Amino acid sequence: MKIGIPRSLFYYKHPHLWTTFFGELGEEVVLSPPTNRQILGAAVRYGEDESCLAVKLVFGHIWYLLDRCDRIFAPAYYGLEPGRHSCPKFLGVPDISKSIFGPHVQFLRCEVEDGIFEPGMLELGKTLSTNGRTVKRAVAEALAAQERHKRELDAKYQQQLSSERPKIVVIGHNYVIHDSFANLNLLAKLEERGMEAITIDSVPLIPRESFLRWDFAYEAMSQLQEVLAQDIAGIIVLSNFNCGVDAITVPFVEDEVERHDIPCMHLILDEHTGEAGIITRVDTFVDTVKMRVRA
Amino acid sequence: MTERVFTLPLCGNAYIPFKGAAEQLGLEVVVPPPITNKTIALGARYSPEGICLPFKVIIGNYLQAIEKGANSVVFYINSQAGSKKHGGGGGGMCRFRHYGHLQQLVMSKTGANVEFFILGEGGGLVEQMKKLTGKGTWDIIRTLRVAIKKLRLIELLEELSWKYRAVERRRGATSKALNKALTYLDGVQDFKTLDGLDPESFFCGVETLEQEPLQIGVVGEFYLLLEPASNCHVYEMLGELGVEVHRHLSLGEAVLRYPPSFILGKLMAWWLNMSIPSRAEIAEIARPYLSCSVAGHGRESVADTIRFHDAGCDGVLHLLPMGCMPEVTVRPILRKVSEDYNFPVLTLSFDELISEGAIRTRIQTFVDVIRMGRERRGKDHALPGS
Repeated sequence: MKIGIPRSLFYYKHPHLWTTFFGELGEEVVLSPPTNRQILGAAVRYGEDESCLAVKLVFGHIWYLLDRCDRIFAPAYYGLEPGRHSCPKFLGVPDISKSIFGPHVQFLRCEVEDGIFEPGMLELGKTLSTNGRTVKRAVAEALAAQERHKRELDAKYQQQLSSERPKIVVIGHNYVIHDSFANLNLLAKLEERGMEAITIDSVPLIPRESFLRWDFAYEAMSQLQEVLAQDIAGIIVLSNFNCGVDAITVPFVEDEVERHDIPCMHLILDEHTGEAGIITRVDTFVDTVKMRVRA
Repeated sequence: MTERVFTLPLCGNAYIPFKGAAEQLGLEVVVPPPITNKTIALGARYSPEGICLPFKVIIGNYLQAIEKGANSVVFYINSQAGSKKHGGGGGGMCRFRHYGHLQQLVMSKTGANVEFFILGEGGGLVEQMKKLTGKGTWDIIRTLRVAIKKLRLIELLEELSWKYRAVERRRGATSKALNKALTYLDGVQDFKTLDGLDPESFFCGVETLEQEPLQIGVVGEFYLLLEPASNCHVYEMLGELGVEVHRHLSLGEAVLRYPPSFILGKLMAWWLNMSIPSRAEIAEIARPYLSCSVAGHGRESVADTIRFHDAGCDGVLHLLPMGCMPEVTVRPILRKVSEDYNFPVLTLSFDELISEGAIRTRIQTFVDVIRMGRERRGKDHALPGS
């Protein structure tokens, strides 16, 4: 069976987990390509106009996968830690897809609650393979791949910290900072201008007490406090227009950064963002950072 | 230490019972002035740009109440909502859960010196109220009982006003009767009197026309349903066009479905004396379209649209603040429901820039379309028999 995985939302959070899982179960995985013009067009056509760009894009990626696979994978992330929730918009994705594309779209679902993956994966695995041992091995392999990914991120972070170049932290949802088409290649633009772009997801997460209920908001605030203890030259907050979570998180991020006297820029993206506008703002920001480093 | 003067956000007429309760418990209360465009503009100036409309209006309320002398804010958040026990519904997973903390941050940036009391977070509701007022459990429960009873009466009065306004002979007679009733209720603080009241009796002076009004159900985001100033007074607008309005969710229902605690939930169910579909029933009705909760009252919006259709309504109006996380999620689903049931659904999203004129035009068109549909259906029905 061909299993389609949209390259959006959860994929950027756990890039190797699900591909490894289905691969180990002997299924063929069809991963949608990185966002391109065609997918963006479909996203704008099928997505709800008041959703954020990322939620529109998931429908673009599902549209791409429609005729290319038998089942589309859409996990339900209720929360990645006890007492925390994921963005409620994600939970509706399979049902909304059925409303948009018709009832023939088949989804595979896997429920993740409190950050515990095994029970849901085992259940899903049993529907795909009759061999219990294969399923167990697939789950173990998938979780190991996820661990490896975490270690890679950690190594990258340590290496970036020791860099000589001015370090800029990019804060945002994984699916915003790593979708280079949607964010108009922001990370590469920073690198080109001699900056070291540290993405917030590579910063180690140290559990902290927080009132924030959403996984992303909680993790980002915690990681921000961790990274602010380092020698940081600037912070870029990257969010999608009409992102509900960021409407709450960003004021707290800005408040925190203000106290550290570090330049901070908030970029809001949507499908109409022009590259020229981004270049101007990045240039100005980088100039500011360089001036302060020299002074 | 200066005396604490409390204020609370406006949410329709719900301030009446809560102000009464606070005063009974010995607190000094300043009610924010009625919401106007100025309130909303003031709130929007200090709030984060991307936050939903209710937050901006509430900040406007606080700032205007502070001008009138308030120095403390009471706000309530149901910390149980969104938990697994509650099936993920209520304001627990959406932005409402964070309102308390963000309000404090925003207010501190305005330079206003206010103290916040967020009820429902970090402790039982009754315990917190005891600490706040210095009164005993029994006093609190008794005051709550009066407040909840009054709240229910106000909701019944509002529902009756929508019924009467659609068929009133003289424009404004219903609103006048409603205001009189609300002023009267504001002064009553004793349970027995409230219990003996017949809400219908307040409207006996309203002369009515002999006609069958159109029936429109209203679903959507909770605050917009409750606060007429935030939805450009659509209920009145519809009433004046001869439409009887049915709201899918009232404050009482929301409290019953997502109670602050088990015991309080049971007590409130007894005081409110109303039957509502349970969370499980709502989930069952919505299941063909939506298999899980999407926070807030998104699932209720889907289920109640179907329920309004089954109850014989002529159409449904879906209200949401722009970008509302649960309601934006269910919007494509409502479109599908509308298509499948051949049932008119109009979605209106509100932000601080909306003008009443734009809403009025769309409402008028919607009502015209529905009325034409009903007339055509009436003819079709008449054909085979004649």
